[in-house]
Amino acid sequence: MIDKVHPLRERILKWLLRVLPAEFRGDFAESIAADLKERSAENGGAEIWRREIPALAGLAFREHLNVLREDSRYALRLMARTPAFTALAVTMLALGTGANIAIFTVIDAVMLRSPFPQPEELAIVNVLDSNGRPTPRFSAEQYEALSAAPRTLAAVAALGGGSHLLTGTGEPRRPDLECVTASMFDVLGTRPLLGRVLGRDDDRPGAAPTIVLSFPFWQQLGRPTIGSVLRLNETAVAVIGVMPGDFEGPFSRNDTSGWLPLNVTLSGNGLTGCRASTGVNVFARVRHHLSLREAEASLPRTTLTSLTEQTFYGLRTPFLALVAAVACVLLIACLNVGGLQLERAVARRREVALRMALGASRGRILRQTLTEHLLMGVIAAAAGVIATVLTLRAIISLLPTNIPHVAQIGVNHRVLLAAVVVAGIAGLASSILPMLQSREVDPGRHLVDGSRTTTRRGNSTRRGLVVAQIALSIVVLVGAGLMIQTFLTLRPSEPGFNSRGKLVTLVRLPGQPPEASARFFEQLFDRVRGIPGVRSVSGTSYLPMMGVVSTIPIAIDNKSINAFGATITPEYLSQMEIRIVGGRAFTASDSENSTPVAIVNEFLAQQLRPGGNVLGLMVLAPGPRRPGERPIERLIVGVIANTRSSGADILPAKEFYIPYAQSPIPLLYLLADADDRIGTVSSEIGRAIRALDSKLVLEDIEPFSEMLDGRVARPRLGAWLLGIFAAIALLLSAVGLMTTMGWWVSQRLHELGIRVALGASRGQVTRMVLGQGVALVGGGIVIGCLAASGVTRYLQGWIYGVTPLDTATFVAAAFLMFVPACGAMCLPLWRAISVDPVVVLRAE
Amino acid sequence: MVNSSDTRDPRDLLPLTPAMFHVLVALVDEERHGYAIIKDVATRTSGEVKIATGTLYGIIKRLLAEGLAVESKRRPPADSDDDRRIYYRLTAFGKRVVAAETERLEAAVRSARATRTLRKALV
Repeated sequence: MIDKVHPLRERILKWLLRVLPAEFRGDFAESIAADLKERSAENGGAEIWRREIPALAGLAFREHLNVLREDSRYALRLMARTPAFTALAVTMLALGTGANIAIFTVIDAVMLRSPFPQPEELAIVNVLDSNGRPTPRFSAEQYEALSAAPRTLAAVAALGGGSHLLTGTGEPRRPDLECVTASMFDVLGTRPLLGRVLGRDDDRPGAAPTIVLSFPFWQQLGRPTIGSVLRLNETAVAVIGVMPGDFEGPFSRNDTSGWLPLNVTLSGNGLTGCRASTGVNVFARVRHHLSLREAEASLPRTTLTSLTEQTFYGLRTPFLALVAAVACVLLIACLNVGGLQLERAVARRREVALRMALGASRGRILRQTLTEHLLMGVIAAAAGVIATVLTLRAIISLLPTNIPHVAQIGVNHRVLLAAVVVAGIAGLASSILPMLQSREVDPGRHLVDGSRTTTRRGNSTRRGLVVAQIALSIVVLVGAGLMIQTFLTLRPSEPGFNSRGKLVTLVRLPGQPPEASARFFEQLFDRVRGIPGVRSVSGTSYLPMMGVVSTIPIAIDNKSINAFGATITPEYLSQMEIRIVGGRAFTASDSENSTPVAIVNEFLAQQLRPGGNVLGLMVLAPGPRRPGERPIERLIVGVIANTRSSGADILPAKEFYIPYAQSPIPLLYLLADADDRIGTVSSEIGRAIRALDSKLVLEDIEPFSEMLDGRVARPRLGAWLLGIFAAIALLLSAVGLMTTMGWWVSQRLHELGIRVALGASRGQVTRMVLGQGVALVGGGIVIGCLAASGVTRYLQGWIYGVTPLDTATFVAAAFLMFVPACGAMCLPLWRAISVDPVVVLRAE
Repeated sequence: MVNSSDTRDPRDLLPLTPAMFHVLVALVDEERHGYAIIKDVATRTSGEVKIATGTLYGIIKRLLAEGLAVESKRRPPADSDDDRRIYYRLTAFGKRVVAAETERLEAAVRSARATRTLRKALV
């Protein structure tokens, strides 16, 4: 007892004495306690508080640091003594930690950081329609009513649509501008990097046009100064501010170029500019003291959705799946290293027994084991950080382009902190089994008995580890399999058309009448046909699987069927290699003066005449993309095979085609079949368009197959990353199985030697070893499949065209695990069957 | 290492920290336990140097590890003994180290006194 009068002081001193390293405590704790008692009696409590408690805390810290230094030095010596083992263990941990750090780097930038202060106060506002369903579209009046009564909302803002053309800065282009009320900047609360944000006076009808630029667009424009003028829709617009690099507008769209005042309309070039009249999206910041639910309760016919939740809608599941996968990989690596260390711990029992006999406490031995693993974890995490830095570009290139905050992805202090945590987890998790093993060391027994044999419990622990690793690998493999199937479903190799070798660009002729459009495209196609390297050219108003469709009603026998409508040039079907199953394709003779004709796909044909022939049938249909046009009778002259129509649907859509010449519109996708000279051909196409109209906006000219790839970026990301993680898991498990089987064989060499000496054949030994291995692999596969069947349902919403319990995927995963597992058994098996009984028995 | 025929050069351990020097000086004439060392240092320096218990035992651990001091087996009479106390005494090497440090400090003081300004200031 140090002080009876001051229990708090006494407790602190006792606690400080207790936290001293065990050896130091054993040597000096009693003396210190006696000294403190005397000092307290002579000098009073103030001295203890002011001088002794801080000094004792400092002593505890320094002594622990000393122990850590000694343990680290010892661990490094041990690691250097077995470089191959250390390299294997660190590599395995580096694979696990690296995967975790890389995924954290992405999630940190995309989901964990917000460019807005207090993001939890931000909400998307939905209004309830007449059926009581929430809809995000507000009329101008509804928005005014909402913003006029902001009792629970600190600020309300609206965002509307509009199309703009930027000229005077090189090629004319369509920047992705958001039309917003000035209050958007109050709601989001982000300050500009340069200049100022939109003010209320900027957002009044008739105000001088102004714009706030996004950081990337400001850079693209060559960093114009504040006050400089841009020409948007043939109107001079003053640049008043530039937002910081991490600000991407309310919905975090990373391609946003800037923000215009919603109520200042810039019409020109046949483009409308911002239009509040067509409805707006509304978002708000609720008052500090209110939750979204509380704010919602006080707003009539309105619902609030967290802006953060909305921004990351659809991203949470994929990222959670990736986090789960990398956690599995790390766990497999830790189990593997733990298993390997078990063997070493058996071999080092004598050394540990000696240290204990020389006075090292059991605690010190455990601490030393933990330090060794933590050191390995730190080295592995450092390797993981380096690998992340080196592969960051590749990782970013795999990400879908529409993921928010992609530009912010990078290794920063938070990633480094996460790496420290991951290193700690890896070190701790891999040290548990060796620590348990070293607890069993008995100096009395193990100093005398130097054998490397282990207990039955040690064997079963090791086997359990391998089963766990295989089971975890199966879970990751099944996840990867489902993602790969999803990717193949959404990006099939046989979609019913050929996208290879085709360049695509969208040509819009704003405000052009049909006849002028037809003339323009005729001239354009002639020019493009003349470009060296171009084999064929066609035009279409609809590209399959690209998600941009126009639906038109097809009337027949008093019933109306909605179908995807498209106008195409005669070459389109042959160029896309779409099979004609009946009738004919369009020809040049299907002109504006000939009989109106149409082609349908098999699916629509079935709907029009179930089981019958549609060729020669007359249907009533308007031209696609010609709003207000009266439907006319059209003769069906051809039926084409079903193709994949929309990207996310494996079922075909109903498709209805009419010749472009009979329904010209000012918009067509130009498709050019090009040979290897894609770069030259695309710039020549641009030149051909420019030669016909120098003021036209040149859209991107891209290979069609790349456009299709872009549509499936999310499943592709999942397929790639989960595939990589599954491969790592498979490799680690195979190594784990190989070392465990090797260990099992080395433990049984004596028994095998006797068996061979007694006449056991190689076949019998093989069966014995394989029986062990197959039992482990089989057990792991069964447990893994059971676990995977429980886990994969969380992938629903991210997987497509395949069920979470897809048998083929499970079988494939089991097979994929089994093959390398069999390979991993070869080395131990070879050692077992080449055992020489004479050598083994003599060694004993 | 504790060794009476310690051939190490005491100057290798110099300079000592002021606290370590005072602790060594406290042990030169007499074997003492921890608190006695603290009190001796305070008395010897007229209360100028007060070593905290936590600091003292860090120093003692180092003295033992470096072979400058050892635990003493001699105990005071039973009526004034506290069996939790450990008494420490200097080794021969420890004495050489404290002597070397004293010489070093003396030389430093001599050299400082030799400067004209300090000579005037210290008169």
